[in-house]
This record gives sequence, C-alpha cells and structure tokens, in this order.
Amino acid sequence: MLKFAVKRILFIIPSIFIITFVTFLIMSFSAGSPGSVALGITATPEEIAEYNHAVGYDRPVLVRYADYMLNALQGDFGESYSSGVPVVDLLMPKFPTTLKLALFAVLFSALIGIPIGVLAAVKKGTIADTGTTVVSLVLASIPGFWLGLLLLLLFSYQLGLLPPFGIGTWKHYVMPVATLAIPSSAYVARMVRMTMLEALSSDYVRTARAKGAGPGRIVFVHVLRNAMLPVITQLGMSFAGLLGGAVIAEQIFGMPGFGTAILEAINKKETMIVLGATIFLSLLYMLIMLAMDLINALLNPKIRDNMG
Amino acid sequence: MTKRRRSRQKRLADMAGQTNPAMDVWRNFARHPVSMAALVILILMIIAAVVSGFLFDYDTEVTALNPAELLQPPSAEHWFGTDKFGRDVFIRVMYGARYSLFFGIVTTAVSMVLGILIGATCAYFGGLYDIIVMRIMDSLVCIPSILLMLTLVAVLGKGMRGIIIALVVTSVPGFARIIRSIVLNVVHQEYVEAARASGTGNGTIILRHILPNCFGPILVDVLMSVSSCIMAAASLSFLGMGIQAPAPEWGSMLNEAMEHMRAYPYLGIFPGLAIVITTLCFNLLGDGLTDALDPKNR
Amino acid sequence: MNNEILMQVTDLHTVLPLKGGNLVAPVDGVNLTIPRGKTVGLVGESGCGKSMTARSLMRLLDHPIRIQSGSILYYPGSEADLARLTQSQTGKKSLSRPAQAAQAPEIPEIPEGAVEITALTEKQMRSIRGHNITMIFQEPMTALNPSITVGKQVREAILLHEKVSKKEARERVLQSFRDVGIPEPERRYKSYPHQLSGGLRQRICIAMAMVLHPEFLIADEPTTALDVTVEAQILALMKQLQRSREMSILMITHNLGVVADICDEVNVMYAGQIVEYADKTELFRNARHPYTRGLMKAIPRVRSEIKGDLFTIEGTVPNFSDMPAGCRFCDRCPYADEQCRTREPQLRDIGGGHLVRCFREVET
Repeated sequence: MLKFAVKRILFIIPSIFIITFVTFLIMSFSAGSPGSVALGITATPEEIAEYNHAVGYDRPVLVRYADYMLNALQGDFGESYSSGVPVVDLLMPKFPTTLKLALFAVLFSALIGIPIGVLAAVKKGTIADTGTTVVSLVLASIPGFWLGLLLLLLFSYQLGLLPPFGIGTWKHYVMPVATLAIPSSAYVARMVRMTMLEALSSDYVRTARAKGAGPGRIVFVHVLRNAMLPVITQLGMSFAGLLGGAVIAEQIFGMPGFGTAILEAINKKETMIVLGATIFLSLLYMLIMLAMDLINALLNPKIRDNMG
Repeated sequence: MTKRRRSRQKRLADMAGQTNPAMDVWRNFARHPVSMAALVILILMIIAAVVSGFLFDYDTEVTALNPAELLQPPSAEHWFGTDKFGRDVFIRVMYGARYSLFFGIVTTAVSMVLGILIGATCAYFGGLYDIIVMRIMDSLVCIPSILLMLTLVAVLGKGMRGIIIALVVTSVPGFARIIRSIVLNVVHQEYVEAARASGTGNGTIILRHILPNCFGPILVDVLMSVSSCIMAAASLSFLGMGIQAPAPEWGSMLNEAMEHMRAYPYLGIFPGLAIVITTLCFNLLGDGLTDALDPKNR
Repeated sequence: MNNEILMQVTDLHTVLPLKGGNLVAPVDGVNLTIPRGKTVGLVGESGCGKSMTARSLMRLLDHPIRIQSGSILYYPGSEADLARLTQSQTGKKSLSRPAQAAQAPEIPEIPEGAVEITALTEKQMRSIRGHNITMIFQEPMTALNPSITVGKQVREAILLHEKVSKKEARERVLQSFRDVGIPEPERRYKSYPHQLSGGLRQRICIAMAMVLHPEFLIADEPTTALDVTVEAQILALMKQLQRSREMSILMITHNLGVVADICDEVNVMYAGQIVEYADKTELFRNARHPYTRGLMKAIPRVRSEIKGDLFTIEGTVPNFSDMPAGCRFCDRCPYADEQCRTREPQLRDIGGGHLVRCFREVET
C-alpha cells in the first residue's frame, strides 16, 4: 500500500506541470501584464514596455514558464504585480476562512445526506422514500447562490436572527455553510440511496438472509460498508470542489476568503496570484483524492490487494 | 456482478413478456407522470424562449429604462413586478430563458461531440496517445471548475463566447472519460472484432459499430450536464463574470437584485425560481430516463 | 416428529405482480415432498421457476415477488424446534405478521408435528434460516461479502443462532472448514473471498450452510459456475456430508448428469409446474413425459455425437404472461394433438408412484 501511495504521489508531478502550463498559457493571453497592472491606466505604452522588459516579461512564454516553475519548486510563487507582496503571504491568511466553510459544509452534508439516503433505500417504495427522493432532487436543482440569497432574505432581513455580512462569530458561518451544505447533502443522499439499493440487491445479502440475519444486521454489518466506498470518494471530491466553490458563499455573505481573493486577482489580471491559487487548490484536490483512495483501500480488501 | 444480476432481472422480465425495447422505454417513461410533466414544461420553455425573441423587442421592451414605473411590486400589468430601471421582470425572465437554454444545450452538445471524439479515439487507439490525452483530461479535472471557468472568462472576455468556451473546457474531461470507458467495453465485443477481422476501416467501425452503442448509457449524463451547465453559466453571471447587464440573464438579474433584496424581495425570487424549475426539469427527465432504461422496469 | 417426511409442499403459487396490476406465476401449483435423509432433484431449463420454488421454501423472495397461496409444511426433527415454532405460532397469532403469506390462514388444519412455513412470522423464519434449513447458491463469486473475512462470515451463522463465545464459534468454524475439506483452515479463516478460487469459495459456502448441522439443505445450482473437475469434487463432498449427517437435500439443477450422480428422487419442472416425478432409477429407465425425454436425449454422449447432430428441444419456455391454453409444453411437443392444445393435463400416477403430467404418455 505504501508503494501505491508513492506511485500515486509520483503521478501528481506530471499533473502539476500540465495544470500550471495550461493556466500559464491561458493567463498569457490575458490583456494584463506586470507593467499595465503595476503602473495603472495612466502609464504610456512605452513605460509599460520598459517595465515589462525590466522584469523579464517580454521573454517567450516557455522561458517565463520554466523560470516560474524553477522558482516555484523553491517555494517562491512570485509577487503581486501591483503591491509587490509575495503571493504566499497574500493568499495564505485568507485560506482558513474558506477551509472552515468547506470543512463544515462537507461534514454536514455527510451527516445529513448519509442517514437520509440509507433510510430512503431501506424504505424503498414507501412515502418516506418518495418524499426524500423528491426533496433531494429539488434541493440538488437549486443553485447555491440563489439558496444563499433566500437564506439571507429569510434569516437576516425578515427574522433578523443571523448577521448578513462578515466573519466575526460562529453565527456568521451558519448561512454560508448552509448555502454550501444543503445542495451537497441532497446530492450525497441521492448517491447513498443508489449505492445502498445496489448493495442491498447483491448476492451476498441473499446469503446473509439465508443465514438468518435480520434487516438491521444486513444493513449495518453487510451493506453499509460496501455501499459507502463510492460515497467516500464523492465526499472527498465535494470537499475539494467546495474549497473553490466557496467563492459564491463568500461573495454573498461578504466573507474575505480564498475565493474572493482569487476573484479579485482575476479581475485585476494579477497572473501570479491566480497561478499560485490554482496550483495550491489543484494540489490539494489531488492529495484529497489520494487520501480517499487510501481510505477506500482500508475499507475494501479487494482494492487493497490490487494495489500490490 | 451487476451484469449477472441484470441478466437475471432481464430473464424475469422476459418471462413477463417483452417486446420492442425502444417502445418499452418510451412507454415506461410516459407512465411516469412527473417525468412527463417535466418534459412538457421544458417543451413549453423552449417555445417561450423562441417566441420571446419575436414577441419582445430587445432594445425597447427588454432592456430600455422606464423611469415611470420603477420598482413596482407584482401586479396584473407586471406579473413579476418591475426592477430598479422600471423594466418588466416577467418579460426579462421569459427572455432570459433564451440564454440559459442556449448555454445548457449548446455547451452540452459541443462538449459531448468533443468528448466523444477524444474518448473514442483514446479508447480505440490506446497506447501513448491515450496515456497523454487522458492525463491532460485528468489534470484539468483537478483544477476546481469554478476557478478554471473564471480564469477562462477573464481572459476570453465576459460574454457568450467566453462562457461557452469555459463551460466546454470544464465539461469535456468528464464526457471523454465516460465515453472512453464505454468504448473500451464495446471495442472488445465480438461483433467489433468481427468487423475488424473482416477488414472494415477504423472510421467506419467507430461510427457504425461503436458510437451507436454509447448513446444509451450517456443519455442520462447528457441531461444532467445540461442542468449543471445552466447552473454554472448562471453562477458566472451572478459573480459578474458572465453575461453583463442589461442583458436579462437570470444569474446577472439576481446579481442586480442583490442590493435591493431587503426591500424588494420579489426581484430575487422569480429569476431564481426560473433557474430551479429549468434545472429541476432536466434532472427529472434524467431520473425518468434512468428508470425507463432500467431493464428491471421494462 | 414425522420420521418419513421432512417437508411437504402443496399447491404452491408464487407470483410476481407486474406494473399495471397483472400477476404472473413463476411457480404455479407446485407439489413437492422432501423425504427425510434423501436427496431430491428439481430439474428444468432456466426460467422454469425452479429457483423461485427453492426460495419460496425459505421465504427468501425479493420484493414484490410473494407466495400467493399454497402450503409448505415443515416437520422439524427436534422436539425443541417444534415447540419453539408452534408455541408462538398458535399463542401469538394475532401479533404475528405473516409478511409474505397473506392468504396463509386458508389452510386451517396444521397436522401434528408440523409447522406451516407460510404462516410463520419473519422473526420465526429467521430462526429457521441458517439453523434448520440452509441454502447454497449458484454464484460462489458474489455470494460472499467482499469486505468481510470468510471466517467471520461463517462464524456469523453460528452467532446468529446460538449463544456461544466468539472463541468457541471460531473453533467450530475451523472444524467445519476441515469437514468440507478446506486446506489450511487457520489461514483461510482470515482470507477475503476474492483471495480464494471458485471451488474454495463454494466450499466456504457449504461450510457456512453446514456449520450448524441443519436437517435440510437447499442447493440452487451449486456447481453450475464451476469447472467440471471442481464440480465433481463438490458433488462428492455433498454426497458424503449428506450420508454422514442424514440430511435432506433439495438439488436444483438443469444438469441431468448432476441428478444421476447425487439424487434419489427427481422432479422435472416446466413452465412453473412439475411435469414428471419418479425415483431416479425409474426416471432414467422409463421417462414418460416428452419434455423429460427431450432433456435426456439432449445429454451429449460420445457415441451419439459421432453419428449425428446433438438432439435439441425446439423453441423456448413460453412467457408466463402468455401461456398456451392447454398443455404448457404443447408448442414444443412432437406428439401434441388437439386435446393437448385445448385441455390442461393433470399430474397422474402411472404406477409405482411415477407421476406424469401428459395425456399421451402411454403412446409415447
């Protein structure tokens, strides 16, 4: 299994190169250059060109990319064009807010989604099943930003229970987390229902029944573990996705997080910040997926053996 | 395991008397009142989207300012009320269907074609080509999709072209992966090997024998993709990175409405409701098809 | 206790409700007698309802399939089991929930020493399954839970029914592994199913079924998915266990070779009904139903293959929703006449307990 983990980590390296190169290439088509960003709109084209030459921006894309990667490997992800502050120092302070949002959102979506999905599968065909299926389908069809607006309207503007903006107290986190967790938990519930139904109709369940096992034992001892494998991978993917997707909740509820910082950087054409954020989030995504695979292997002996 | 179970269920179904599969799928689908309702609503929406282009003049009725009727609540005259510029929200929501349906359907169609092209060639030719292309696809998946879309839109310009390219780039890898695995399954079926053995060309084999067999399995993914593309496009516009005001795109209408939500909540309700109904209908259609395609129910 | 008979199935109907309110009956009026300590074969093509019959006996039917009517009388071998099952059957009748047996009360008289399976509560049924009556399945690949060690899966069978320590249960599992000829039982105990071969997996399933010394084993095509050599080993093992433990076996198969090898009596099933019943020697010497004869002619033999094509029965089993009005086999039967197409034949004794469902058996 260690061999598997090492192999997977080695696999990450070419991916990182592809991701950075694609992002680098995309950003190089952007109208913004270090000169135009740093000197502002009053600068003449000559001044901008001079500035760009001074920082080496007039070299070919491939050379600049190699330069960037060499520095990045040493932990230097460049500086903001306008302020000169290192990208790492700019972005890292914003990350805890977003991490908290994503972590709580995925936690709640698991805590809500899994039991509901299991219940719906076990009670298949009953009103409880139909009801949860319909509700989860509707919730999964609501775009996060609209859900956020509705929550804001109800809990802040109408009821005055929760603060609409900022990050001061735990109360500030309730609505943003709900905005991210509700559609996600609906999705989890739908998936759990599907994998549970699949597992419940498998042959080993029939064997367990033939042994005299009751429904509770079948669900908790035999089915749940096998049905959870794809769900765990899905939860990892949602977590990684929420780290980026939190930008919507951050925007609605005025939280100065990672996503907001990226959005600003994109608008200001701050290539270095966008690149740094992309590398960071992609790397995180790959490490999370690796962790999910390892958890899957721990739960499923067959996968464990295949990892060799 | 599933394959064997399917065959058992199929045998059960066979005992119960089975006929033409395509007709059966349709009959099963038609028996589902909810899916049928979703289909009807979507057809009506498409009609509304097409008709609104002829019915309303973009410059005078959809986007023109009307200072005489600012911020009116819903009434008989203005069903969904008017916004801060005095524009009729109902007309704008109806007109907005043009954007959302267009994004959903066009981007999904383009992504599907590209996904089929990439996935099918990867599976069929294999080797280094397959490894390199799939590695690139897998790497693209690792970039959070919203971040990739925002970056692309920022570079390509906010507007139709940017949004469509951004959505396509983020949805192609998924399609390519699904198609590749389906084709890999099909390629090793005996009839394909037979066709190859009898000297049929690569192109003919892919077009005649392989692609038709991929259609069924991805149909559901296609519908889900339409609804997620609609949502993603609206999200981009909501973040101010998509279709720009004064165009009546649902996401950007919500963005505009945000500052007036406290006093005029209806401004935020109707465009959102429109998005939910559209995506819900596509999801219901997908669910209904999943059920109808399930051999157990035939 | 009944010394002769272990289970008596009378007029069993198991139905599958279709969407739209129609019913089809994969098991349509089956009678079966399982004598104590014998092996009974149930033979037929796939889709003839033989597996459904077997599952009905243990009430292991997947929703919405259910037993519609009929009686399954079980005569437990031990007084304790009988007491356990009958006391609550009469005592708590109002509380009992006969989940799949809605019409069960239509059989009023339950004979002395018998238990009506269709009238038991689900909880009572669970106490029988794996304990008194057990079952093994066709697919040793998927019949075991992939994420639990096989030792624990067999141990579960003990722990579900007896209050013993895990350590003692483990010892008994190891003993049962030895009984079914699993090499290195200590090591296998900790194996996961995917680490074992198909034959070993089926031995594990048999060990699981035998560990509590049941008196009745239902084997649903236990060797169909196995290689021929492994099949022979498994059949030999079953024969040996059956003899040493005086257990009854219901052997479900489509393979007359398996029947010839292991069974004492044979029921031939076609389209949800028993069409012929006899003891093995009588059946192989003197098969009277055209379907049974067809099955026998279809067995490949070295000599006949040289002479010409292998015999096949034309056509397929009819759809359950589209049964012929008369004899269910008439469309495929070379001897069918007008009577066969209009009237439905009944099972009748043609002497010596040999039953045939055919008008024309005398002529054939």
